[in-house]
Amino acid sequence: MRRFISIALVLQLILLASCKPQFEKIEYGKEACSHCKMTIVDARFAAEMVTSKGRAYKFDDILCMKQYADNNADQSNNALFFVAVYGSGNKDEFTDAKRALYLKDDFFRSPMNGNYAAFSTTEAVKKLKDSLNVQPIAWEAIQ
Amino acid sequence: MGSYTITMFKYFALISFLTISLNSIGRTIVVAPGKSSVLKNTILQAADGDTLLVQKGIYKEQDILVAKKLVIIGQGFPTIDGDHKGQLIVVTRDSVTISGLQLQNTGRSSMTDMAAIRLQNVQFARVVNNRLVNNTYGVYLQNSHYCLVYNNTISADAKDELNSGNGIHAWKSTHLLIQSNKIKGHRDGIYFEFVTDSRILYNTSDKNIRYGLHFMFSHQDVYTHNTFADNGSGVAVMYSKKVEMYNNTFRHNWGDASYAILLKEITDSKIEHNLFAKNTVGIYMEGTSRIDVRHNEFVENGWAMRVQASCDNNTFEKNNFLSNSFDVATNGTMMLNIFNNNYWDKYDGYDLDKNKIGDVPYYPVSMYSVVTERIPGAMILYRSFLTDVMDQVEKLMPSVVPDQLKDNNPMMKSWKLR
Repeated sequence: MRRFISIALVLQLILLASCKPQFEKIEYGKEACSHCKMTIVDARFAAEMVTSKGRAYKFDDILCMKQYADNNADQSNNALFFVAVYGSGNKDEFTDAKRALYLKDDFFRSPMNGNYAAFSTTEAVKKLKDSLNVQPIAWEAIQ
Repeated sequence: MGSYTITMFKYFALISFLTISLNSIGRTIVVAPGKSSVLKNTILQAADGDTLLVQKGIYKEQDILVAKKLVIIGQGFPTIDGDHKGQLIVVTRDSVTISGLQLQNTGRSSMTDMAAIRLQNVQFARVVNNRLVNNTYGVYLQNSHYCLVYNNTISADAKDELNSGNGIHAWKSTHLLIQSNKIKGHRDGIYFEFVTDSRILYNTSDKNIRYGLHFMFSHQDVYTHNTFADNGSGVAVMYSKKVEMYNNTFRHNWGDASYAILLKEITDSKIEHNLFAKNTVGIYMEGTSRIDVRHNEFVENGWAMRVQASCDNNTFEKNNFLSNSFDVATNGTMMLNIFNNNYWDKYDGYDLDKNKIGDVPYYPVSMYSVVTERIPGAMILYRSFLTDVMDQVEKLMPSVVPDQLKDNNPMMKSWKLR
């Protein structure tokens, strides 16, 4: 009986671990955007939504993720949202989309013309904010 | 179509004539390598209408600004090497010609798009017979009109995909002629964004990371006689109207998310006389309306076509479907598109009245393509005994296949298209 319980516990642990929603690396040049079907190549504007069931949806533009999330409320409910940190120089550096700050300007020329860039800190956003003369906005304001 | 090419040709001939007649009043300046910044200094001293004859050799210069009406001709392919810093030539004046140069090694930056030749707010520029090697962007047309990009060889190293740019990149431009270029190893071979009334003819675009050709928000454009092969995902035509695609070859665009053509949100366009060979998907369409697909040949593709339920009023007529694993796949049951007079090699009907048209309709969506559309993993059982049995049963008693999706007049013999 004890053995049975321990096996059950181990199994449960494995199942728990595999189901925990977490960020999944994007394979640039191979994976397609879930919203616009374009291949994701530009790491500066990539985004990812991980549903509460743990399935990752990847996007090539922050606006794509926002639109997809708005159109598919059943999937985006309680989902985690990640956005690439603009200017980080690291293609795998993502941050929580709901806490990030965004600048919108035609200067960015993102793949789907969303033209939003995400920043994780106020210091990082400050440099570009002044030269572009735009005000940072929050996740909810993206449309 | 042919007359259009001729008018375009006449147009450029006229420009060339005008440029030449302007030259006759300008001087010819010979530039030889040696001194630093010799190109920049010569351009500073030149006047409108002058011709620069650039002699063979290596010129290590960046950000050469051409703000005068100059004709720059390289003799024996002189090399301008950017040393991985900055851009190479930036043109900001109308009627500039750049020809016979080898341009290599622009810088890379995540902030600006570094180009070998940037045409900025100009008209009547000509970029002809150049070799562009290992640049982030090759030719970059920005808010430019009536420009010619002809017979250039543009190649880059496809490995560094994150910072790479496009071979020919056009943005907010009109009336461009992009002809007979060979492009390889860029992000997109040719990229059009907000470009209208332009022609893309006789180019070869292969081994690019993303698309051989990429249209975004670009209307009234024509592309014919191009070859797109071995690109990451083929050709994408998105969010555009009145695009005409004739006589192109789409070959071996192979991969999980690859298509010969990806059509998304396109209306009123024509796809005719193209060859789709050995692609994962020949044509993938989503949200498209009023497109004519005629006289094309689909050979040895995984799926010849995937038509999403969001497409309507498209016509598929007189095409050949040969040796494809699946002819048509769809995710819906309704079908608002017309299939007529196609040749399907899987058709096993009969022609009793001998009018060369099959007497019973052909249903191009096979039972198994419906299954794999819903459960992609089921592909592992494809061509097993079980699925063959299911396919046969479905033919006798249709229950899964969308019954409106049919070709009422399938041809008994294939069309001669090539």
